[in-house]
Amino acid sequence: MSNYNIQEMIQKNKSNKGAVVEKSIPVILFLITSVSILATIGILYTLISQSLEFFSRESFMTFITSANWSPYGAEPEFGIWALVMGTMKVVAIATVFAVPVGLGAAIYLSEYATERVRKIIKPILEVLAGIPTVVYGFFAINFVTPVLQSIWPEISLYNAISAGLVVGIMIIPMIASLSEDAMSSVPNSMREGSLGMGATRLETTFKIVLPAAVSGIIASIVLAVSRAIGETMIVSIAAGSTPNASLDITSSLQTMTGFIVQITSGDAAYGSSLYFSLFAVGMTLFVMTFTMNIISQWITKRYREEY
Amino acid sequence: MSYREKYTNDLQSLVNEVIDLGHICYERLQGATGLLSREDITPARELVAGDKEVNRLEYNINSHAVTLITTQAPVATDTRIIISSIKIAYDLERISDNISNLGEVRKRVKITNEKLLLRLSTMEQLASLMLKDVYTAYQEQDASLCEEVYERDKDIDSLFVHVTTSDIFEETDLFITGQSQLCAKYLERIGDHVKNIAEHVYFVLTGEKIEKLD
Amino acid sequence: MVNIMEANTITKNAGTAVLEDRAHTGTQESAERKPVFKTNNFNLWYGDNHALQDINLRFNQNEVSAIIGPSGCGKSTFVKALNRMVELVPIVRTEGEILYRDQDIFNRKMTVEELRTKVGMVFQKPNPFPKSIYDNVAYGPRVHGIRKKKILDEVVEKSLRDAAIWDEVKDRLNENAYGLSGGQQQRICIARALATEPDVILMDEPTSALDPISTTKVEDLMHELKKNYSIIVVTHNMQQAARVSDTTAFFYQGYVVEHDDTKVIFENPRDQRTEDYVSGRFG
Repeated sequence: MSNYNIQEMIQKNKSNKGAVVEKSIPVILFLITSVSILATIGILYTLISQSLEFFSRESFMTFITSANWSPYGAEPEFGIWALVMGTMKVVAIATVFAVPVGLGAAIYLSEYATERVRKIIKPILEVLAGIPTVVYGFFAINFVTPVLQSIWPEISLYNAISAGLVVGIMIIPMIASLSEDAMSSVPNSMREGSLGMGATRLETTFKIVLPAAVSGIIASIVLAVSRAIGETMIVSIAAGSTPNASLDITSSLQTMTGFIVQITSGDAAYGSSLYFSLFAVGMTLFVMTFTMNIISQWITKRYREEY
Repeated sequence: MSYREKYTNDLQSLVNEVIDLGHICYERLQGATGLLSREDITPARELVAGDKEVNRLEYNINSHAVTLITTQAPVATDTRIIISSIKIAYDLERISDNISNLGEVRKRVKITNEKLLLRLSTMEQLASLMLKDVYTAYQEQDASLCEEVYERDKDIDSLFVHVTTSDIFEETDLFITGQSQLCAKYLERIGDHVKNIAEHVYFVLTGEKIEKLD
Repeated sequence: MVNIMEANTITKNAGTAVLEDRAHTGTQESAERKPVFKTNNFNLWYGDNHALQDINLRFNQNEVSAIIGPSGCGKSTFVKALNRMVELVPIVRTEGEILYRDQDIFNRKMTVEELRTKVGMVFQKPNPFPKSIYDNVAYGPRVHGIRKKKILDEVVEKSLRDAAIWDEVKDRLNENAYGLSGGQQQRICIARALATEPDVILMDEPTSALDPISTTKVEDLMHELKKNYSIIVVTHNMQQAARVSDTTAFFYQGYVVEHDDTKVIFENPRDQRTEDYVSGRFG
């Protein structure tokens, strides 16, 4: 028999403090959230206003149509396509390499690997994701490029292939991990339904699991590609600083991010067109990744198998 | 939307079995008293032998009813139908037994007393009409007809008292008198069983017992 | 829980673990029916757990056979062994034979995919694919190489009709199956299983996640389907077994206690444990 009364004790402990705290928590959390909102607004504002300053000095049409990016010298020309092509070459190679490997790893881990194997491989992927990009860049120029040169001697010291491959390696864990999460969250009952009708494991993977996980997979790929677009260290070290809009992946190029690093670590006179061009390039980068995001949302909405 | 077609069909089959049994008993009753005065014993023998089929059918009804209860978990009217089927089959089987007993009497002795035979024949017809009407009451879902049939058993009872106590029959053979009184008893019992059937049908239709008006 | 059983062993034999399978001697009709499945001393282990012990059962064609028993008695495991779905669990080990129409299902001559086209399965929780109703039902035939639209159209309609859901979905075959109610989804899963024209349909507690009306619809369906298919249904609802099945097997702690015509199991079972279970006294 208890000699205490729970109800009495509850009543005694009641205080008004609870109500006040409850009311103020949403406000506090909103304020905290607005820090990130304000930061975003601030950055966007800077980008837009300084870009507009750039376009007040240099021709917008030249910027978006010309493939000649020569910002130094007496008659500078600011055609963004050179830098965009540079970025695209690296990103394309990275994507073509990383998507099959990443997806393949995800399919293996999610559908075929035993628990023991998963326990070993997943941590290794995490390690891969944690390597600093400067180390990747070092690895690219000192290991990958010489190996490639021994196979195809025409490849120059700075080129798109080495940078692209290593950027690809860097984004593999992103694709593999997120895709594997998406595939693992497809309920097992669906696999059983498919196998129960005499489909093989492979058929089940490609006809049931992948379609059901497609929005997660596409999201992971978009994330990885956005990351590749914004990758700076690896391309600065291994891709070169020669802006050109050609499709040649064996010779030196310059990406948008590489250009920004080059200028900010050198001297650009404040107030010069060179200085403001940084913001224009930054704005271009932002527009690209933002568009990618929109496209991926449209794709996943269209092909999503909701369950 | 109607579901449980199999169950519904099985239930209807059970009811049909009871109705068929009822028809058979009705046919057996027709002219049962008539053969008491016939020279030929063969119809009496056949009447007695026919009881075996009735027993077999009653057993089947019970078996099917038990299976329905066990496997289908009936409720409401379905339950009343199934339980009443068992009870009605029992009463019909007893009616058939009593009809057989009339045949047994003929196997022992021929009854020729006209006044007696008239009374017995009347009792037979009364019971027969009651059985017919209780069937109609079920077909037409007429609970008040059940109550009427229930009451009409009194007529058979009065005739029974009359046959067994009155001395207008001028029968001198004590054995024949005794056997005649047995026949009256059998017919009175048949009337009682039909009365029971009326009660069971009333229960199926209303869910209640007939209010006894005596 | 077990005291009643111990006390009432006068007329019932509760001693031996395995009773002879008597279902096929129950009625003359039943004895003449061909078996679709026969198991011979079938045993199964989950690691060290001896989940199924010496199962000797026979299931006949065009019958609904129910398998009942308390939780953990092995009934789901057994039915999943019949189409080798139980092999999806890595620590499973089996001994003994399972014959599908006199063919050993573990023999290499029949691939597991082939077996599963002839022995379809409906699961406890409705699991339609997140695709259109049409694509759900056409999945089986498509995966096995049938591509002509005309043929697929016919198969889809026939399967949906046989599953008694054609009228409800015929105007929305291209809508996602997830827009249907639980009971409708389960009937879509049944149609999906029927699309490969299997011989046997295994149902693992097919109505336990459904409301009463949907349950009744599926039960009526089982009765219709047995004209053309053979059905083996696991159920933890004894009354359902009593309502729908022709024969019933009672599983307990991994072995078969009794297997006979449903009428016998529920009206006059041979084993005291069966009687106690069906009357709800334990389980």
